[in-house]
Amino acid sequence: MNSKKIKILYIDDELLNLSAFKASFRREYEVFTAKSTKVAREVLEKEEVHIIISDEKMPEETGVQFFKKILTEYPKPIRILLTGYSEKHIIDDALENGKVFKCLYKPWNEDLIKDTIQKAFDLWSSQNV
Amino acid sequence: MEKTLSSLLFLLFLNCCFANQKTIEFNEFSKIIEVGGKVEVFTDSSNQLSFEQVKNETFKPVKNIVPNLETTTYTHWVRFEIKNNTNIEDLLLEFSYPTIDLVNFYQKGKEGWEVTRTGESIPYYNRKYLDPNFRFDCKIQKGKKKIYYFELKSSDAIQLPIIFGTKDAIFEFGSKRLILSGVYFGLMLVMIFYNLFIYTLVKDKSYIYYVIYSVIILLTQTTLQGYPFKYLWPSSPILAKYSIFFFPALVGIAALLFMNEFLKTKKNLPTYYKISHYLFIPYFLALVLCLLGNFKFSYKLIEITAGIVSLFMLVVAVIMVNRKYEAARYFLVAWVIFLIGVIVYILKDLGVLPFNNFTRYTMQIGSAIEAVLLSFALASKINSYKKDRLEALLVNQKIVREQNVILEQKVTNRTRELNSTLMNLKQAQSKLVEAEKMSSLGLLTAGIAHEINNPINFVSSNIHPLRQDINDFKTILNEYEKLQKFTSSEVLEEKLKEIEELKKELDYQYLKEELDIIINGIEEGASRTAEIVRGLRTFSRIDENELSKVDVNEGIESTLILVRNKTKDIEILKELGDIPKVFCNAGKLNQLFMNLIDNAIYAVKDINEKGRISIKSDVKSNDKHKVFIQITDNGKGISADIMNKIFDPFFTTKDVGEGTGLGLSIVKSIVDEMEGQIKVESAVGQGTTITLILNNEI
Repeated sequence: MNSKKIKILYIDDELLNLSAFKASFRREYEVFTAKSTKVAREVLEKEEVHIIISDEKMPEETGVQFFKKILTEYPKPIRILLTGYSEKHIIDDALENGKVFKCLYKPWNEDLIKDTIQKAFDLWSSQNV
Repeated sequence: MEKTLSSLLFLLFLNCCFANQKTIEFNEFSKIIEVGGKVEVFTDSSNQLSFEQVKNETFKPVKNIVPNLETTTYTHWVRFEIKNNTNIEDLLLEFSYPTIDLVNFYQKGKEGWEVTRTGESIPYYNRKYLDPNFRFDCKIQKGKKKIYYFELKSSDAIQLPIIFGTKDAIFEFGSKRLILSGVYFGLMLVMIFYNLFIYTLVKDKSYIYYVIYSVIILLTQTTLQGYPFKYLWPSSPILAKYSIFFFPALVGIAALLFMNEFLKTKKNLPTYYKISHYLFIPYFLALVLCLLGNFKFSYKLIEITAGIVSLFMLVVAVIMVNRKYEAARYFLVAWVIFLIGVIVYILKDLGVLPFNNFTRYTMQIGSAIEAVLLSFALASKINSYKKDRLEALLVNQKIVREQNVILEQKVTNRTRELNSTLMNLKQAQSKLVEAEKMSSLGLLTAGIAHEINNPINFVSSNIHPLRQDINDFKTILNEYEKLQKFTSSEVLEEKLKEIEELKKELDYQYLKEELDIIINGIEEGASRTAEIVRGLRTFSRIDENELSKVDVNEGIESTLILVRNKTKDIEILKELGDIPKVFCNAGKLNQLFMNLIDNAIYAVKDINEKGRISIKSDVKSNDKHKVFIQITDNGKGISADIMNKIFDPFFTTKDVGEGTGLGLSIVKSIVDEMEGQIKVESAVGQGTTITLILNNEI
């Protein structure tokens, strides 16, 4: 399968994280970035993304809060939390209530992200045959 | 009371009488003779017989020197005959018993019987001879005899101490008596005033009873000699009459009161103490009888009671002496001497002892010695008090010394305990401070970890795309290098087209843009990391005690950097003025800011509006040597009831596990250490302003 078909939306309030993410993964995947959850919604309206990767701590709402909110509207995308925090209660909440596929940590390991994206896409594929 | 005994002893000596001569001889050698024992007496129980009638009655001779006529309401008549064997014709008769109410002296003059009326019932200045005793002129020619009569009436006892002699002798006798009385009087007064003075000093009741007793006994003694009538109430026979009842009764009461107080009978002999009070009753009864006019019974009652009281006091004194009561010895001796004085006086009356100025005044002498001895007794009581007090003092001192030793021991123990408690507390405190430091550092590092994550991520995550992009650039560059081999323009054009294809494929335009973005990211990441590390460095100096000039604004900035992850959704307003450096410990100052800003962040966490924290620093307008830092938030605020507790260690409004309650107490201790001030203003729901004032000079 052409991996370029995998559409990923990355949300982070730090613009430099967005640019680094895009630079890192644009060759393999189709990468959409959003500097806020508001922009993210706009992207979701236009594009059917397979995977949403979000930062947790952002000014307006947290990544988990966002995931919870879009759950009914956009149930298909696989959700991955990419956070600087390793606080257990946030992760538990994310996994249980945010239907988050996996939690990853910053500074990120590119290979681990790629591996996770592949697994997430496999899951997406199995759910959307 | 001497009369009581005299009466008692009179009965004993009743039969031991002297031969009675009808005519009393006055010879040259005997300047004064005793007449009293040689008289004849007739008692008119009807009180109605006239002198003429009485002359014919039968007179009976008396049986002792100083006859004692019983206390009756009858009129007594006394008759005696004196023969003058000397050349002196003008002689004097003295009736030395001043308390008789009525004394009528009958003697044969040129025109028959002449009568001289005197007595205590007649004003004093009516007398010819102004003496307490009654004196009568007697004119008897040498070798002649003369008969004299006395008509006597008195409500109390009548004795007949009658003396006869030359005027000079009688006057001398009188003046000697006066001197003796004066000595007695003076001595008593000295004793009275001396003890009154002592009473005012020591306030011991014994003294005032002694003084009262002495005053009354003095009055009594002098009353018996007629002095009060002479000096105090010469024109008041009524007073003179009553005083003879009142004073003896009062003497008895005062003596009992003095004894009770002096020998402490209430404590030592409670039964006798009670009896002593019963003894007051007959005295009061006697006084009432006297006032009712029943003088005879009153006098008898006083006599009997006085006898009983004398013996009673003697018994009490003996008991107390046997009980080794120090003061009782003096009391007993004094009392015995007084009683001896009384007995000698009576023996003199009975003729056992000769009549002279000594025997005549043994009662006064006894009384004076008694007064002196009792005064000694009181003084000895003071000594025994002193001794007791000294002993008590020594015992007290010993107790105090012992107590001091115990106390010192206790203090030492307690000090040791306190010291060890203090040590424990200090250790606990330093542990807690350490814990607080660790917890705030822990909080900090968790924040830092996240804070540093992003910038490090900028660097690390951009490296790989940078390499990829550079590789792409290299690929394109290589293609250009290859062009040198070709010279034909056709081939060259061909190749350039291929390169353009490659560029499109690698998205050359985007690569150029991305390269900038990547480098920006790495640059920004590196600089932000460096900034955080710089900020952290000052925090690592908390434990150092060295002081240096610290830029307050820099401290605020680096603290803000470290909490940036927490302040993303909080509006931070900074108004940092141009302020001089403050001499302090940089680490501690940053810890202080960290705690205050962290509190402000906590305060604005769950409020409805957007959280706002403004931090201001400036030079104090009225004092250039002081800087102030003001941290204001629009958070929950502090309620007034806990305002005075916020600096207490362990005081926290946070949930268990969220905070140690040490933050502000550490802030306070740091501010105190810097000799600065901290002020808190707050209103619930509106926010809190904390103002720090620090000295920029030491």
